[in-house]
Amino acid sequence: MTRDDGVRAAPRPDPDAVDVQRARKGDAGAFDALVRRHQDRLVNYLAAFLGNAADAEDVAQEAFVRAYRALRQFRGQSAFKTWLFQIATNAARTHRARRVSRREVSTEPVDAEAPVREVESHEDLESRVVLRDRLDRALRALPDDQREAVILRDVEGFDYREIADLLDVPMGTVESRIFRGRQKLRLLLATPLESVEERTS
Amino acid sequence: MKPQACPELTSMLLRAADGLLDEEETADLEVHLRDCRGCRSALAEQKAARRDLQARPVIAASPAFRVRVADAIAAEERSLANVLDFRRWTWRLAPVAAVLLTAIALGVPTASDTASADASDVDPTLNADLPVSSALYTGDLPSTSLESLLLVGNPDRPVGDYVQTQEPGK
Repeated sequence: MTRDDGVRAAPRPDPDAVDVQRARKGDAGAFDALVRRHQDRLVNYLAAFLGNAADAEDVAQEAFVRAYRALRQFRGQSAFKTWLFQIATNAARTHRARRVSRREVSTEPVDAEAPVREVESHEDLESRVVLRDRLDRALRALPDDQREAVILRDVEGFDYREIADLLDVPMGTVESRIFRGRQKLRLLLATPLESVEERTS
Repeated sequence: MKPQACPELTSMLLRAADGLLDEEETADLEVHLRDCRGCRSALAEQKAARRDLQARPVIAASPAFRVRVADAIAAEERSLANVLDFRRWTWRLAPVAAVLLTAIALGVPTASDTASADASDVDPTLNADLPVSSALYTGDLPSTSLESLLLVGNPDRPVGDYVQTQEPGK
């Protein structure tokens, strides 16, 4: 039976293993290949987490540099991608905390009942940007721990075990954070649930 | 009021929304959902949120991003190389070495000179009949005398021998 990768049965071989090995021996081209392979997903994850594309690139760059610096200590306990996202998550938390302490980020909780802009059509670029803006606004209103878990699962497609490793929490905690995060997100997006039920049934 | 999902089933509802239940679990859940409005609503919520997020348009890295990363890593390596480059250290330490050599050439008093000067201030109340080893043990000697004795002393000779030899110089 083909299953989604929410729960991984057995460790899969790391598709980055060869490049990681070469990069550890000082092969700059191999590390560049790793950057090329993961840059878009990492920037996307950080943009969803931080709510700002420019900040996302800064933090992603920092994460790659940290990963490069620590590559010799990487023993392959997890996939390189999981390890890289873990580094990026820590860097993003630090970045966010720094900005909050400088009052550059609003700490005001967004009213969960407040409707977020609705989208009439997703066809053109403008509506796609509006859709992303709407989702990112809703994501920013989630508590950090739920936002991380929900984005890692639903935007980046990590399985529960990978998220547990990445966030260093038990798998039950991951499930609970995703469950509650999605519930809050639906409230924030304020789409009539009846129509959702019809579409998904 | 919004109906609530059964708390013991949240993990199952989450996995159902993600398509992770096997056939038996799916059948069990379907039986429960027939009678539980809260769980039906929660499952729909989970599916809808997941679908919304999966539809989120991706933000890609800018074309210059890879170059920025490569530059940052190159800068990191340059700074590391600078730390390890002995020639740079040699040049940076040259002024310090010059000052030290000048000080030695001019005979500027050093810390050891000061210590030997203090060694002449032997405590006259010192029990001169005690062997040096006893004085060391009881802590009767001032630390400056101690240093002098440790350099030349026989621990079994009386302390007085050393004290007396230093008296004339006083």
